[in-house]
Amino acid sequence: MVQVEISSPTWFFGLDGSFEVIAAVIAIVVAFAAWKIWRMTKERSYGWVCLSFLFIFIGFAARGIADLVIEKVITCAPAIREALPAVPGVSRTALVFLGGYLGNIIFTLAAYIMLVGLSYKVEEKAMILLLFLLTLPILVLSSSYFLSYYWMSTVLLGAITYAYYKQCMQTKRKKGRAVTLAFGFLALAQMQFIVSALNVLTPLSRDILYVTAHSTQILGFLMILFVFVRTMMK
Amino acid sequence: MKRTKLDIIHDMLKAIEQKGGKIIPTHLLYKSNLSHQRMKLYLEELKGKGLITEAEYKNKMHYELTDNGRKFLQNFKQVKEFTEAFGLG
Repeated sequence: MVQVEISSPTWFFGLDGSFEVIAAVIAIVVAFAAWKIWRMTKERSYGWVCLSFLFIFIGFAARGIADLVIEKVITCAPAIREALPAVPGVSRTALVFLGGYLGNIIFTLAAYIMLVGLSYKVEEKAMILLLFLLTLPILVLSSSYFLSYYWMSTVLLGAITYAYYKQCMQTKRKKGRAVTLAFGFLALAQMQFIVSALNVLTPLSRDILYVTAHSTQILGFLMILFVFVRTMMK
Repeated sequence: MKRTKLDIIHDMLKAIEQKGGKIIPTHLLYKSNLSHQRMKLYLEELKGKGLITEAEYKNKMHYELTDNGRKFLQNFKQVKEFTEAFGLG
């Protein structure tokens, strides 16, 4: 029997899903812009940006929908629960949870790895594949998917933030600062998720940290949106 | 400040546009401020990306701006901003 434990204050159910859906929308908008530029220039780097943000869209959409569905299942509607497919030994809630969260983990990790490759201008694409092949088994073999995922995300997003920061310092361009800050917020959010998932704090503190983690994460995405809007208004 | 690859492509396409959409190689060489060898490399890339084509006009070989090339020039500012913001340059 798969047990599901959702660590979130009750009042935040639905809001976390909504934040994730907003993040997904922002990601698909950036992916679309990158795709248009790729079509125009046929430069591979824009294609990689498009693919990375498309994966982020899929990852956050999966998790957002899962959170929203779970919120409805838990709080309102037995009818929705009954409409979900039945799998022996797995509750319907757990099925939605696993599908959404696993989708989130796999796709966002893949996206962050691609962005690491882009931000460090890694020429050899086999290195990106190697990174991905290293992270997936660690995830599968770990005793806690979520802690492993949040830790790997922290490291990858931290690396991306550092790369953008270095670029900003070298080129002295102000434009990269907002993106640096955005990825910094995303990395910080993952750290907050790690701490909120550990059993070292009181339940109230864990709840507050979970909420601030989601808020920090959406702030990061809103900064990306801000950069995008400023770019498109030129 | 050193020109990025994007700036060089823009300068070359702009030079072609300013000549009415067609330019002979010699004029492009002067306008683009590149060595002959580098210009050749960029021209191959521009042809590969469909931003320019080769055409014969008045018995002389010309490079001609394509619709894609014109689109690139129109959207160049946005492309440059996006490139700089996401550190792709």
